[in-house]
Amino acid sequence: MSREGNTECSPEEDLNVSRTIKIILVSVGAAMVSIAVLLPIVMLFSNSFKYSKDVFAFPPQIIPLHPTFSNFIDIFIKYRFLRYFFNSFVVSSGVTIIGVIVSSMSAYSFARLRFPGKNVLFIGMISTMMIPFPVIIIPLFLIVQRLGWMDTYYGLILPVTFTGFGTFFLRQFYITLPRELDEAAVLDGCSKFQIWYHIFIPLSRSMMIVLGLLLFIFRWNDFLWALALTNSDRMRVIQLAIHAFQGQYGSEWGLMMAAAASAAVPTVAIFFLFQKYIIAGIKMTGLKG
Amino acid sequence: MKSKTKEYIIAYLLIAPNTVGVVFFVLLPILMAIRLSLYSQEGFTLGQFIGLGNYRNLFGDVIWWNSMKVTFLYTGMLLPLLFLGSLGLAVLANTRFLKFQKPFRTACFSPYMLSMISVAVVWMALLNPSRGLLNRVLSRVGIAPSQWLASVHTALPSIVLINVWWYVGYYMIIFLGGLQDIPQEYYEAARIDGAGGWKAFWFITLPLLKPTMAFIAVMLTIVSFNVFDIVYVMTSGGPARATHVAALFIFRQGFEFLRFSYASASAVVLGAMMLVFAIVQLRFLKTTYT
Repeated sequence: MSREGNTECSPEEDLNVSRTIKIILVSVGAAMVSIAVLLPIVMLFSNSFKYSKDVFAFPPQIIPLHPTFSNFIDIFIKYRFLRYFFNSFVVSSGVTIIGVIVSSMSAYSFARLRFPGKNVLFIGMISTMMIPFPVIIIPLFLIVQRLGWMDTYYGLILPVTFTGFGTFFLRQFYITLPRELDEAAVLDGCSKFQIWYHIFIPLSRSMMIVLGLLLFIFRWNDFLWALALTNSDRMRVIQLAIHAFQGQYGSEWGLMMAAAASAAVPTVAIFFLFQKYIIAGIKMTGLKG
Repeated sequence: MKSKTKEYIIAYLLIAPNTVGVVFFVLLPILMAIRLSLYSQEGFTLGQFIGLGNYRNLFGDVIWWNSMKVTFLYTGMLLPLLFLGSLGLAVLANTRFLKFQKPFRTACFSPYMLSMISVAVVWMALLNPSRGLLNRVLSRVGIAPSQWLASVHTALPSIVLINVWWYVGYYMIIFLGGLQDIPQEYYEAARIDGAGGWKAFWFITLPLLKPTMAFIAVMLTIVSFNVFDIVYVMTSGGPARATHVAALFIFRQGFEFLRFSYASASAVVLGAMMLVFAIVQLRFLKTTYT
């Protein structure tokens, strides 16, 4: 990693004044940007602990003057958000687990094995990633309808699990692994499959975790497919539930904020716990190769 | 069995699950969309083959052209803001004068972790014309409050702004990755030669960032052309179709009016445009390097 310089001063920056001014300017600028960006999020969480009438109080209370847990209690128990959380969890986990396994197999094959049609298949797979979802949603909906998967977990999970992304992502990593590992394993009598299972999987654990996290977050936050596929309250995922809730209780801002904040907790928590992994993963999607 | 054949079999077996899934759930729908668009549609049956009939109707559809206009406007506003904003923030984050890079990076990135619905709820409260924080603050400072999402002229820009806030951190991280790949020695050499600051940025940073910039430009184009859910939830395409983007048009035709063939035709047009833009952009960016 390189930053634009190090702590050594070059000739024209011997003046501590000029350097200090730059540091102050940059720090103040960055601090202002940070505050501006974080403020809406802070207000979201802060408002969720306020009674609805206090949400729009001015001047805004970052720390509520009359805090309450009632919003959360109402949301989870009275309005059954526990069920919606459960649905989101099942769907996101399903997509994540299946996606990681299937992508890992596929990525290893594309990275290490030779077979006829390999390039065509790989490029084909990557190009499907470029097709935007609104283009395929209607036919996909019709296919799923014919399969009888409407309003089911199968329909929420399977049609959206198989994309080229996971394969692309893991292959980027696999091609950086030295071939000597493969060769040593072959000398030990391993089949190609065993190489994948006993060597590649353990080595790429952190990358597979990153992929899993990205898939989980993406599916947790998804709205459009769930909207198209489900119509029962029983199968609603959290994102849809909040939207439906807004239709009925949109003016009860305390409840809305609590619902929106709760939906954000898993992804925010994941991010804070696994920051390093996620950031590394995002950077990797930007690398050429 | 020859070992080469054995290797082929294992290779195919390994890619099978994912490939079959992609073929069935991505490729098949694409082909179906094209086929569907070439037929008239009567209820849930395919109807007659009418060739380009749907496309001709689309061409004369005022609402479709409006969606195109809105989508282009949206992209035209979002792309420069998000591109330059994230690049600027990445440069700021990478400078040696900033001592708290990690917290700054985390702060900028945090909006990305919120789901669309949470973003919508937060901003609908902030932009509430009468009670929202933004208008309250503006009027205190002496600036006239805006109607934001409720007015025809400010609705689309408001959505643009919300998306900038939401995504700038994500693209900043990608730019940051590209910046950090530039070897420090280049900057040191430049400084020794007497070129600091702006010159270094123009002659070292920018040229070496071209691949990253190309990647982001293409990603941004595709993503902003397909914007849907946040518009659906926050404005439903209004007021007066001021925010009625193309993806919303497709959704409405398909899921609200049940005109599957017509919707497929518009989807195919949108998809084809995406492909063309992506290819043109990549070609253009390739030639400006060499």
